[in-house]
Amino acid sequence: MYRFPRNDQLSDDRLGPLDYRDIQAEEEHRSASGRWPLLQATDRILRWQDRYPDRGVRLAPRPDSVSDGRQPGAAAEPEARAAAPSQELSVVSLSATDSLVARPA
Amino acid sequence: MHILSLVSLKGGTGRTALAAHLGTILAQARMRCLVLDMDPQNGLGHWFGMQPGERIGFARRGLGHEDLVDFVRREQPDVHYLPFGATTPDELVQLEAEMMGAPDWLASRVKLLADADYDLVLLDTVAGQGEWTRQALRASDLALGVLLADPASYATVPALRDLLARTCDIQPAFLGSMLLLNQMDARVDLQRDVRSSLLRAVPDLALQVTVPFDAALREALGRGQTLFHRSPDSQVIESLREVAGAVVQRIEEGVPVTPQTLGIGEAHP
Repeated sequence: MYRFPRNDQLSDDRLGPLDYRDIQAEEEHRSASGRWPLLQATDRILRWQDRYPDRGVRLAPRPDSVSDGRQPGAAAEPEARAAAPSQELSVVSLSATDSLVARPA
Repeated sequence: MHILSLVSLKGGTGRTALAAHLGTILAQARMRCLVLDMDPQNGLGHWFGMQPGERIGFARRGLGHEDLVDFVRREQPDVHYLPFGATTPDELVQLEAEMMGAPDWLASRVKLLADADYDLVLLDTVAGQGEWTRQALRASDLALGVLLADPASYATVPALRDLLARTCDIQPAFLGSMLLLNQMDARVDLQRDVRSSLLRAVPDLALQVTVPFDAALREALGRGQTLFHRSPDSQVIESLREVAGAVVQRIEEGVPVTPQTLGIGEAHP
């Protein structure tokens, strides 16, 4: 029967760091969410919230969206332009019951 | 009396286990602490040896102060807890209808405990941002958002932050919100990345400390016990002591304790 080694018998390579504070410096020097699209998308929403704290979790519509009542191609409001970089996902709503609706740019 | 809500928008993040263990740690630190089960699953008491199906609890209709205080259970020497109480589906529907018609339903029940002399009441809430959670947050002056270190849980952070901001931060005496990563396995790159992203994205909310995954927690629940019985040296307990320290710090740095914040006399703000 396989016997699991005790933690102190494992090399760092096999076990990985257990004390998060030890790896904090390492974490600070790499882009944590860069490899994970969902983390990146969430970070974008959080940045948008930081910029517009009174607007909840609803992202501004894309300029070519018809969901806000404008015709496709109509000019967006200045805040919306600022909040929607070209590679952004267009998030319509995010709540416990709503789905995250995303379209590629 | 201060009130701390443990909340998550996703289920299965370990709120109930955290509530049971945090309550025990704070009680061992001589804080008069009550853990209150706000989840119709009625699972909190299992950590303290309560049998499934126990009907006595917070959710029973028509409660007065005397009843509620009588329902507080003390199977363990330090920890006081109040179960939700097992309900039938019909009873739950009736209860929720009553609650929807009274936005302060939960706060008024918690106030029944005000002169029971507790320093802190921990509310273990149901997952999601439904009426239960909103009422719990409105009754609270501290909130602890519980997350797993996975992308699905991380994706709820914007909505959770928004919920906390709109429900809690507008209350004058609210002491603050914290976000905690639970069941973390630091050997997994993705989980470390979630933690790192959280700390970078919401540094004002995210706690540095995380609670590690420990299979012993499930075994303890299977025995109807907390980790304190067989694994008192668990890293889970060690990290939760830090969380408890953060909670106490928030309270100590918060608004001065007045009759109002003790829940005596005037309504809780």
